[in-house]
Amino acid sequence: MMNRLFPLAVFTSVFAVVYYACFVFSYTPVRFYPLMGEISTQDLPRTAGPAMGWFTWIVIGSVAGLVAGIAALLAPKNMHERIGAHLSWIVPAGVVVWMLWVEKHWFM
Amino acid sequence: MITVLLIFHGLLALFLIGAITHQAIGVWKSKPIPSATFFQSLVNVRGGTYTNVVTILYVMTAIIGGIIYPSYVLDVKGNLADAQINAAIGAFELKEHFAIVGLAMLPSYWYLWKKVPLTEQVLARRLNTALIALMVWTTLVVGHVINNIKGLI
Repeated sequence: MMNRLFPLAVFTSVFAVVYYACFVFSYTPVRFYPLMGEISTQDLPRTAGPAMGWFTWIVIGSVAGLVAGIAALLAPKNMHERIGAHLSWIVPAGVVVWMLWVEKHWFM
Repeated sequence: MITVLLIFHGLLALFLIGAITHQAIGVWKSKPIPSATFFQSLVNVRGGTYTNVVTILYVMTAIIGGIIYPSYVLDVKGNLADAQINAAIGAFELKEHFAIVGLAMLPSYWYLWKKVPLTEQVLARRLNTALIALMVWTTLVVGHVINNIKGLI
């Protein structure tokens, strides 16, 4: 039963870390400009309105998570059984704490 | 159209918060108890039966949230910045991050409930479910408050 849980937990964990790291380090190779309805790899002028990176971070996180999840299928079975289930909540919980720390400036 | 989607998004989130709250409370039950009181009945739910509903509602709520998110950026975020309501902007940033990390937790959450015997990985199932419930509560409350603030400014 644990054989499939471990890759799923790895997907969750890697997604969460990579997604939020992209946000924290402003890694947004592709931006969506909702006012213009345009997707661009360039910084558009201010008249183009605000840029959104959220969708990009989701895509990057998903790809990283999928690659890591597939790689986790090859991990030794004893590793699956030792850390598989708890990885599914420990890393996301850690990322939540990271988010609260990074975003605290809004509330001060 | 955006207003209709926003209302639908909110209604789905209400169903979701009901389902995940039942499940997150019920999963901590460690031994059989009677259902004599309201709280005992609440705790006595069969958590596993909520899993598919929670998963589907979460995905649908997140998809609609993603569709209406650009409208928030265009119509609401600027007003919040102009009014210097920074706490609301920060709260919404947390909402967008929590929602998406919760979405990424769904595969392992589903697997823990549906494929792992309920007598195994009990702590992992409890904490996984509790964390998703925390995220759902946060995102719904923040969304509701932001919606109210938007109505005021």
